[in-house]
Amino acid sequence: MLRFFLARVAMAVPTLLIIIALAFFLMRLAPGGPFDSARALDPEIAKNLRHIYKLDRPLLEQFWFYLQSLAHGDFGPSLHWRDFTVNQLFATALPISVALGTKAMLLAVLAGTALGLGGAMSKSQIGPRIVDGAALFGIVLPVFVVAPLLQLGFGLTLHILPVGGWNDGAWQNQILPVITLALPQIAIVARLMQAALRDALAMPHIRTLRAFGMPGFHIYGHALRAAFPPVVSYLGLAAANVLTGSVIVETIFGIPGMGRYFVDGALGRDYTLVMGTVVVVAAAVLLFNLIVDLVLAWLDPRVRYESRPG
Amino acid sequence: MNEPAPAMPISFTAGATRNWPLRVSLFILGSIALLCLIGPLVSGHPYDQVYRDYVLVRPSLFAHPDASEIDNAIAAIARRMHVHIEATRDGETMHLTLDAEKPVDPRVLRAFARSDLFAPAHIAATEDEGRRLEIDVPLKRMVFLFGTDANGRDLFTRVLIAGRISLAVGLLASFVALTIGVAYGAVAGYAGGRIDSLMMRAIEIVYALPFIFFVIVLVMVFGRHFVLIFVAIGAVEWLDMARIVRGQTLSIKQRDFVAAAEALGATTPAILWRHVIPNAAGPIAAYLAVLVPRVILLESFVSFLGLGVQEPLTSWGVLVADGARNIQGSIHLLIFPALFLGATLGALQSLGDGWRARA
Amino acid sequence: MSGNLRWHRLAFQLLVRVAAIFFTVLGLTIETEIGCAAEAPALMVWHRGELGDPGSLDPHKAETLIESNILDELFEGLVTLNARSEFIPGVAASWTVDPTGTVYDFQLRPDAKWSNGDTLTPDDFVFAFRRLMAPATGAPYANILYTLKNAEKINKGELPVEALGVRGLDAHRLEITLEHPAPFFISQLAHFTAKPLHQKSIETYGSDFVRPEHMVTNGPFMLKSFTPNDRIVLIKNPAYYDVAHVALDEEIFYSLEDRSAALRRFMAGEIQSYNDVPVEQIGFVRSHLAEAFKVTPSLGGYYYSFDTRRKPFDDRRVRQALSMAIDREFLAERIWGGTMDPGYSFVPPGIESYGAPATVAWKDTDLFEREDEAKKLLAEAGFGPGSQKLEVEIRFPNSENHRATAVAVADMWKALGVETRLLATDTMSHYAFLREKPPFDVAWWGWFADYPDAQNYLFLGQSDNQGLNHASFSNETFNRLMQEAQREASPERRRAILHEAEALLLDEQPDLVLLTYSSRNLVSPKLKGWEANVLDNHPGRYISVAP
Repeated sequence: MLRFFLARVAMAVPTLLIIIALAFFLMRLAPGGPFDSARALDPEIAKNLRHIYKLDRPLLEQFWFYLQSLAHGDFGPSLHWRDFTVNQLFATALPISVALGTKAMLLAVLAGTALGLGGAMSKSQIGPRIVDGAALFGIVLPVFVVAPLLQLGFGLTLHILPVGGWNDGAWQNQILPVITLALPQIAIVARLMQAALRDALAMPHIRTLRAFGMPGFHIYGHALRAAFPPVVSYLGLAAANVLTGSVIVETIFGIPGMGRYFVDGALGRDYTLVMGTVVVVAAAVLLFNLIVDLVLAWLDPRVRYESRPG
Repeated sequence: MNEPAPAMPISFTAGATRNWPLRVSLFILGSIALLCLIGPLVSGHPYDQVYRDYVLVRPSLFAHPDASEIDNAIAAIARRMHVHIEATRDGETMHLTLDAEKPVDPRVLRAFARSDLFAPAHIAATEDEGRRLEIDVPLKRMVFLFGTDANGRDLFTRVLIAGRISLAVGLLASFVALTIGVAYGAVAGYAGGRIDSLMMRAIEIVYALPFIFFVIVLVMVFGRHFVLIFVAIGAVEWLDMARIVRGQTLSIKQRDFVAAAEALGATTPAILWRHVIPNAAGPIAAYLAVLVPRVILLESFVSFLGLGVQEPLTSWGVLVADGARNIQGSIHLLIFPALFLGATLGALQSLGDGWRARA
Repeated sequence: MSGNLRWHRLAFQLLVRVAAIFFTVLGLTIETEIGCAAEAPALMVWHRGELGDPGSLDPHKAETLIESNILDELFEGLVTLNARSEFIPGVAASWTVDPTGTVYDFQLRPDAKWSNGDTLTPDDFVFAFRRLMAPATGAPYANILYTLKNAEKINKGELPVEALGVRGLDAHRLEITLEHPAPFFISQLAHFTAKPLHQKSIETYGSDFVRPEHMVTNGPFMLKSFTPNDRIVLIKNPAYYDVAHVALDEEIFYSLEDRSAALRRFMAGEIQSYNDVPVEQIGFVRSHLAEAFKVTPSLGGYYYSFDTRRKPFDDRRVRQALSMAIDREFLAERIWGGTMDPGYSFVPPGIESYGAPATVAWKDTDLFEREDEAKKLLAEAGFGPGSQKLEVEIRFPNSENHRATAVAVADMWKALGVETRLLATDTMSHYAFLREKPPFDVAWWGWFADYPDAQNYLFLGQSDNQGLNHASFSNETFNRLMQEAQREASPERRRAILHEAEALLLDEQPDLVLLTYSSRNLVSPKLKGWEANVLDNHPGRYISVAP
């Protein structure tokens, strides 16, 4: 187990390096630079600014500088939020994104499992159809439609929740964003769960257990075990999506998380900020993959001894 | 072997026959595609036609202009041309009497011709040395089934044109993903060993590259041509496809007929083309039905960020994003495109499920 | 079998535990929330929505209107603005100008203090102006104050900062020498580049002097906290000389990029003001929030530049024709919901020192007549039926409003037989495009003056203004007029020269003026002391909030 773990970590480092290089040079392909604005700067002043931020050096040299400061855990100064370093920005934004993302994923797993279980337990064809249909809604409704609808409904019509804002993480302010983030994930988990459970319930060994008169609780326990691996695999992928895909939720609800830095940084050519988000997200993806592998290995010991492709 | 699950859900509805959803999905998809293809030709409105007199009209089955629209338009023309107008309506024609202190400017006819409410007018009588004019103006009848947008363009036609773009984008990007993914996966799976693990390592790298960043940068760089953008999106979306095909290839490679072909001296590309790829066709098709809606949703995300297709063309993503901003003012701008988008995505999704269940 | 049993128990426990954690987390936050709510004292707070975050609270790194709004609360210059955006004495109690119009003598208020209690001295201004011009600071807006003697040379590294024409005469007198007479100089002094800075804290903390724990300010407010993308909390500055008349205890700026979401938050009462309304929701706002909706003409212009370096846009007739055919009333009323004004002058109306601006000759001509004239001009230039077809590409940054405007303009040009393509890019690409100036046909840009003076618009047509003369307009007579105006000390004669220059610019139409901006504010009726004004500037010093 430990060797498996260490090998995976060792492989992550070169992967991360290649990603950093790719992102660094790709970003510079985009037209414009951080100092372009509605009011074009005096060319002399712009030149001076590029000098101050070392953007006038050859690109390779800049890349080398970046790697060096990265090695010291320093993401550099933000070019848009000029009073902050990228590290300072992340220090407030990352915990918020992690908190929201975790709650949304937990909600997705709980609600999705419950729905999936409900659908699978239903004797008739109607139950699963309802779950599938409801899930379809969750998947096809874009977040930027759901979010305003929730704001209108709960904030402006019912007056029971704030429309937006973070308010230092007050729970009222978290409910709507968490729901919005979780909805598509609930839908997917419910479908995965229901399908996997129905397959599992049809398996010979479960049918045998049933025939022996095992109580339903035990039967579904067994079925759940069979159903978990695809869900876990999916969650690993989804976790990273929730971290980055939250940009719309953050923008509409006015939440100071990571997602907005991602998009604002890229659109505003804030090179250091963008690179910082890329590094953090890539690291998170690699981490989640690792966790998924570990969990799968724990669920199914056979996995440990076979090297995963790639 | 532990294959990572594809990014979208799978319904392993073993045993259950689900033929009617499949048929319904196909029917919905077919109708929408047909409507998008033919609709704009018969809707009576070019998709880029601006009706300046009909900005943000509500959806309605009845033809415009209605009585109050006619009154307003005539009052506006009277103000502008400095004349006094008496109007009586006779079916589809308006009889107007124009009075002015000076002789009436004959350009007043152009004012009617230019209006979206009236067909060209003609003078019935001139009195009082041109200070009084009798004219007949036929009404122009127009129906805006889904209403109009902020520029006064027919939303029905625009939703259908948007459908063409969205579907084309979905298919195009998916085709790109398919080509790259199948080729890559088949080669990796067939070659095996070192090459295989190297190729899979490359996929892992691209996987960890934050995908939204990638799309935003590509759109910024290739900003001009929407085709290029979606080739780019396709170029990002091939990863799952490659993994699936590789897995299939690995298992097919073990089968006897491949060994037989090898023994008979068939070249590697020929084996891949003749045996491996056709045998992986089932899962590929099923995945494709999941990929197309994914790309369409992605396009709507890109549109929300303001990086969508160029005017006067449009897509469902652009329309839905615009509509969502309008949610309090003119909800029809959201409802209609959202319905079409939702129906298409839903149909594609259940189509994918159905195929998966069969594959 | 036993393994399976063990496993499902594990899975079940896992689920239960996960659920437990989830609710504990929720419960904890509920508790802390209730704890906080009990202690909150009744403060008078202005919850103020803004379009985004300031890039910096360092006045020398600031660039945007958002930054300007906050910096005006934190710092007060020699001159400041009242609630109606009139220039009133700030830190300077009074001043005199010598007959050449180039040497100003400011008498500072004796009671001007920094938030930490230090007395504000002329040296704080000397320090700030020198820092602004020092090349190492990299102040993006330094060139606004190139009116100061030697400023430009210092900023370009040709002279030491000590050569700047700013010096303290005694403990309360500051002398400023200008490069040339500038009647608008007093209005420049209210700009964020002309704020004093607390020398000691900058020397101690370097660029970190803007942190809440270090920042020393001299305005009505001081900084309590700054959470990027969330909010900035300002509190009343007890050391401010006019603190007795500051009613607010706190002023909180919220960064709200999504305009529709901001509208909803305003309706829910979470913010008391917001300085934009999504154009597509104007109708809704007018019918539901009429009392709160304030539209005020402001000093901004909405332009389409022609690339005058290229055929056929080097031809005045083509530019005039395209300009004449545009129905500006339709754009203002229908596309922008009546929140813009039709633009017929290059300088927006409303600048006191300039009076009514010059307008295009055909302003009052009927649109049909204009169309006929435009077709004739195009025919003379070699375009029209039977000859070449004019094709035009409009470039603009992507937003719904720019898009709707461009679509409407294209439709209006269609009446002339002109074929128009639209090209939207992301905002930064657009600005980069304007800066790099590759060949183009027509490109959008907008302009808000830094200080309310006609020169601050008309200099956009000077051929030596490489950065901002997007049309690459080059006209000797125009340049000469602008230089004359700069040297002119008499305000009346200067105004006449500038009017002449504007008329020339309109006749040549290198930049097609479409509209002039209005500010669109949502202001809660509870907010007292908020006054509509052309600069759309609303200092918290004059605001109070009714319960």
